[in-house]
Amino acid sequence: MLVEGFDPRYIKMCYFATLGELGYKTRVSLANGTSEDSPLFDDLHVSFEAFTTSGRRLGSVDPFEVIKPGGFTLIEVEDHVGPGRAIDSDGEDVLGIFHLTPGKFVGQKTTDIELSEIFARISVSDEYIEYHSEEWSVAAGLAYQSIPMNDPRFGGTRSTLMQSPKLLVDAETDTHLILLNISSFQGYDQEISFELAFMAANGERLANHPIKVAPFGFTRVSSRDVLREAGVLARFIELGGNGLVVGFSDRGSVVPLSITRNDRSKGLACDHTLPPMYYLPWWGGAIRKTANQRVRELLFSGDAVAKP
Amino acid sequence: MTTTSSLRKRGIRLTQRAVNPRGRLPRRGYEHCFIEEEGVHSRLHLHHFYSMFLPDVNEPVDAHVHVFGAEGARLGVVSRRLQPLTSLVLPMTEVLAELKSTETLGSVAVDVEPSQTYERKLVEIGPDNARAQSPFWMGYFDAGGSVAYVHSIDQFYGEVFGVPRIAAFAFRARWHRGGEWSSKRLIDAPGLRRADAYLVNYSSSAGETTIRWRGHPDGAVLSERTVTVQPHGAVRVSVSGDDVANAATPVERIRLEVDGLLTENGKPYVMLRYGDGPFSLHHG
Repeated sequence: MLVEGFDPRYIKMCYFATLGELGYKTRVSLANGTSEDSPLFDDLHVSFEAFTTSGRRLGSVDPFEVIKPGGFTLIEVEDHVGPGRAIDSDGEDVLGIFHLTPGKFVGQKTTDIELSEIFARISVSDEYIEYHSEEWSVAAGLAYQSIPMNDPRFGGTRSTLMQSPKLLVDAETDTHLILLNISSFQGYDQEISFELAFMAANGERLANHPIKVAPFGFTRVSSRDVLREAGVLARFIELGGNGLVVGFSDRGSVVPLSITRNDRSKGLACDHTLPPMYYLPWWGGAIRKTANQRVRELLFSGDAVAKP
Repeated sequence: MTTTSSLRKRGIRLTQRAVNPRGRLPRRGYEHCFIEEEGVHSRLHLHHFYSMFLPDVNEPVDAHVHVFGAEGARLGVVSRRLQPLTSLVLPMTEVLAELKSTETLGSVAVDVEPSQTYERKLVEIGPDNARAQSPFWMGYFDAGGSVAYVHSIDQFYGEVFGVPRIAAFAFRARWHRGGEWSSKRLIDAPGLRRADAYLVNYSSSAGETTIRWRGHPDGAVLSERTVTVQPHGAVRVSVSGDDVANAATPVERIRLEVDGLLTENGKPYVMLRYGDGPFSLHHG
């Protein structure tokens, strides 16, 4: 499928949210995994842009580094965002996008490109996002490939069913959900309504928490705050302090990340979730829509079952 | 798609249909490393995912945890029943105690077996070659407040569940060695106390490989080990802060490489410890 008028900066990206509010700096490992025998062999030109939680574009940094084939780089986000830097977020966390533009596209505002080529370039390497603190001797993160999303040119329906059985919450542990609303389409303006259901290990639905994620924005949700505000934190802990969080949106794809923090050590567990196709590789179409509708009725309608 | 690969796929499909005439649902498992050494503990994050796909069936399922020692010895199977919409954090200490095992390193593969109603329904609504898979998260923690989890990165090769033995042969996932691999992640060296690479052989055949820690960017070898890893066995290769400090030239960063992943995506997990802080762990 030929994608027309595609901004080549969005072919290969690394998108993420910073975690300054929790006390961590952010750095990313970027690499050029292409080799001479690959048709994708090319330099990668690194540029950057940042957005607020509400999706307001704070600014950008023109290409500042070239990664040669086989090369690596480690970039501190704070080198580009902060007081006196190219982008000042006023101390707020940002949604950042590092663009790794292949050399052959540099200088082009748009290009016509096969979707398969976009995915071939993405799949060359994961990018590693790391949250770190020298004070707490912590460096933890996660790796993923930043695929283009919410782009009307790609066709199809967009929905998200997140099932994350790594909800850990107790007196010293909280699990933060970070939800990014990214698009590779410049005119993208869709706010995504995302519903969350917090389930105890025994299947009790203890709380629901609907959120909205602005286009090019992100939201961080403290599971402990949600459970506390719903008056069910003690009940969740009593039932084991672990469970399942389910997220659902029938219009729009969000990137769901899970970060569990131990308040005592400041240690972090970070990972993304797995889409339904990992469980049922053939899942999709009308079957998926019908099932999603039932999940919505079961988990996101009426009141959560437990009340204090 | 070439004519040859199209014909090959059609041949596989016809064979699968022939050996599975009753239309059972084949299931593939996923596998993780478990660590129970030096105060580090592991736990499996399981859930009844079938109830997310067929919420009206409302029946329990059984999660089977197949356990292997570091040398690939099959230690046994531990099963847990999961009710709809439930989840379970299953400590490896509990699993190993049930198997009367004292292994401190190895792997676990999980197969979540649906009830007959789920299976029948999935076969009914799924395509000809419908199958189910059981990815899961593995968590790691210690008493000092370290916490980590990682999603499945590769399948449990060599066995297929849910269909008779001959049919399983037709439905097994094909695997191949992964070739040379270099992590795309640069790890900061200052303050590093130790970095551990844990590699699992997800395949059904023993394989030899070399795991190596290098300084970056000069590429100096800081630590390396050539090992033969048995099927479903696991191995650790570490580099200490002293190794880094004693390198011939100052090392600012390190990276990991493997001369031959034992399966295509069988990258090692990387555990890092800085100063007196908690460890972190993620796939390389």
